[in-house]
Amino acid sequence: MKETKNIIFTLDGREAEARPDETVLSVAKRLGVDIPALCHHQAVTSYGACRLCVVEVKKGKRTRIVTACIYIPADGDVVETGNERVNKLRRIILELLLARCPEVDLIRSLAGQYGVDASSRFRVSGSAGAGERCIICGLCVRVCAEVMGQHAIGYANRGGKRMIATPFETQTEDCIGCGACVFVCPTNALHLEDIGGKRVMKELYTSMPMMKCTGCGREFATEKQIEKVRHCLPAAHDKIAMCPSCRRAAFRDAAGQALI
Amino acid sequence: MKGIIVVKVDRCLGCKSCEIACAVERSRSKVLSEAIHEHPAPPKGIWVEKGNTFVTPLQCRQCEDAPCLTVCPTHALHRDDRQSPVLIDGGLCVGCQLCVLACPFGVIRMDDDLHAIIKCDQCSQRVSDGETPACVASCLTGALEFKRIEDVLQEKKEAYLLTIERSAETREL
Ligand code: SF4
Ligand code: FES
Repeated sequence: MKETKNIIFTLDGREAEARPDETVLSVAKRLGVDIPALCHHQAVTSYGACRLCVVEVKKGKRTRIVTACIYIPADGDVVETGNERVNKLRRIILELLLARCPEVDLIRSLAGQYGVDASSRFRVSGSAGAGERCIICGLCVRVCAEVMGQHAIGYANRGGKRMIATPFETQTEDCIGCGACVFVCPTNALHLEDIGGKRVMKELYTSMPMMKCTGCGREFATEKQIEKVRHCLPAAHDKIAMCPSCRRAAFRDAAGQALI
Repeated sequence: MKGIIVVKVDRCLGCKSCEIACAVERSRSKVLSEAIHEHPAPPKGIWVEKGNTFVTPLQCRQCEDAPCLTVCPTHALHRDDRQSPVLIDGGLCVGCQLCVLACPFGVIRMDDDLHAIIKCDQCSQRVSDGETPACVASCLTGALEFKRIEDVLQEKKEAYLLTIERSAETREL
């Protein structure tokens, strides 16, 4: 069976084995080779947006630059993850990212690591204003659509004005307020806050009602999150409208009762 | 050894040794004196639940038909088989918190500082090294025990038979 045969290639001078369909980034991770990657998450399709994971691939006499999060090696490839050419490219990419998002810690520390000067020589035009944190890598868009199946976030505009937004830049019915987008965002560009009985995600124009725990009255999740859990669990238990701490207390009381 | 953590609720004194042992086990240093200075603070996966008259330790029950596994959209939560603990693969987790809301016991939580879902993994590493889970090892009163599932079933069977026998005696009296 040809398609199940593993691929043998060279990674930074040593022999490496990839499962068919496995990317260079995944093999590198497994072998403890560090490749910087901002827009990659194991649970979603790779998109190659940030370009930080560039590596060099030598195939016979030809050399080219590919993104490690997408590139699937072929037998005999010689991959270099940190040679002079690769590092030079990463420095330029980091300079560009730094020009757009000078306040993002992760980008700053990567820039430092690659010896990129804190003041970028590039100037920003387009939609990015002061304090911009979004690199438009679309990880939030992909997580929301592919993993959560909600399709609440997308892109708006084109070129320099491109940005992450909900449709028509208004609150969307599709968002359940789960916060997966906030969780995966590599640059902390998205925020989630529970204030005054509402879950607010200001970058996504969203403010939605929360559910009060039937035990203590604390607001612990959005109504739509609970709806989603009910939907996913055919046999939802009776504590679904309780906060975790009241669920633990309910167990304790049940155990206590059983003893008496 | 495959096993489960059995809680003998009437033995718990509420001393919270298990909570501390759990956090220390999850710390980088695995030593109490150093763990207390670590940032972010090492998390715990067990709760000593105190009521007015009653206290009991509570951690993931490793449900046979685990709701958290059912709701997890990425298979970040996974297990080898129905008798093995439910484990989490942090690389696959997207932080949607469906598992937190699905758990009937309220023992899965999101640790914001660690940016990770925390749940009891029954100290898989310790157990495969032939030790008992940290909470069990730390419990001074024997309120927490680590037992093979077959043994638990056997004990239950014996206890049940005993009650039947007893009730037969009582009837004679
Ligand atoms: S928070 Fe992570 S582990 Fe829990 S259901 Fe979501 S993806 Fe799965
Ligand atoms: S991680 Fe590969 S392009 Fe961003």
